[in-house]
Amino acid sequence: MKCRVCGSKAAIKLREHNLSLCEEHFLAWMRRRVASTIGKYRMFGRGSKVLVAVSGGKDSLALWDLLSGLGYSTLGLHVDLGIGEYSALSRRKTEAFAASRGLELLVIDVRALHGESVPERARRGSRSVCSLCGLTKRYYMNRVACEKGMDVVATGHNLDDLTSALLSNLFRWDLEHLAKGLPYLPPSGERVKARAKPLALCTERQNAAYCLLSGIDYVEEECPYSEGATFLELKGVMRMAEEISPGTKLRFYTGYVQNAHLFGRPFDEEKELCDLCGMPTYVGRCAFCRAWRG
Amino acid sequence: MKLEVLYRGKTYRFDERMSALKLVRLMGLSWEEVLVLREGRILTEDEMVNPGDSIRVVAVVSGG
Repeated sequence: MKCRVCGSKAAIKLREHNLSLCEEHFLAWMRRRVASTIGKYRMFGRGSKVLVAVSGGKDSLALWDLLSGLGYSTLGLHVDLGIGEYSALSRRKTEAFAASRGLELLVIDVRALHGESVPERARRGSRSVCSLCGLTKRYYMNRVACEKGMDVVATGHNLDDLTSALLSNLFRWDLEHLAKGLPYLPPSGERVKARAKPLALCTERQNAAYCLLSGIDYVEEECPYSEGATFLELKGVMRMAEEISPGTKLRFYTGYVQNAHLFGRPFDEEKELCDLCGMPTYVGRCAFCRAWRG
Repeated sequence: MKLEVLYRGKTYRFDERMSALKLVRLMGLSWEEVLVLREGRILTEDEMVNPGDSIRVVAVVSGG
């Protein structure tokens, strides 16, 4: 198999694009892909300050590497959730990556701030570990972006994440979440920052290949709490559809983006401010403070 | 000599020469959920793997 650009030995075939590329031209293709996704969905501009949510996995480290390589001004945010050795390894790899690239990283240590880890707190509350983890990460991404004067929060969600979530939301006709699956959500008022997913049109296979070819040492292990999760099964369903007809995931997601307005506005205005932390909420106390502070 | 394949911390051994795609399918995996590496280089699906090779299969599906 030959690289379509230079004719040398191919390293990867992108079946959905019917395109084979060598290592060098695949890395260049990824840079163009992310730059064009940012432009296509008007995510942010050259002067924007981008808070990059970094878990230490392949997607977020690839994203940070790509954004900084494209010349964007970035600040990394890692939330240490206290999930045993998994979180310790994730933090070490994130810190090592930031140091190796000379990038600025901020770490939120949940246990240090709240006296207990996400699993410990979940055991004493009504939320599952996964629900509390998601809530905690989203809260700190937005809060840190506000406090640091960032313009937008960028996350490493990939095409596989977004299509499996879309499928799940369609199965349940969850209109609220169907309205929110867009690659870019604009800011709402002063305290809800814009959210962008620059890897929305990249598959997780492409992101992993990007890391391996760029020498990025990422966490290959999975979170122990994700084992047997429904969305992993749905990723398998999407993978089967993709194998039958290459390009299915891309057509499914880009078609959704064109038609997402049918599901209503992306989110309601959160008009009140939390009486404890001052961040936006629908009523009285925000979900984060209810979960962590009672 | 065997073809040795490392996947998720376990080593699998095979006797025959085969394509990387056939190897992945023999392991009960889909091509889209993994990357196949030999000496740090990613293999395309038509490349042959041989007895004596050390292969690493990397899962690309991530949690949340």
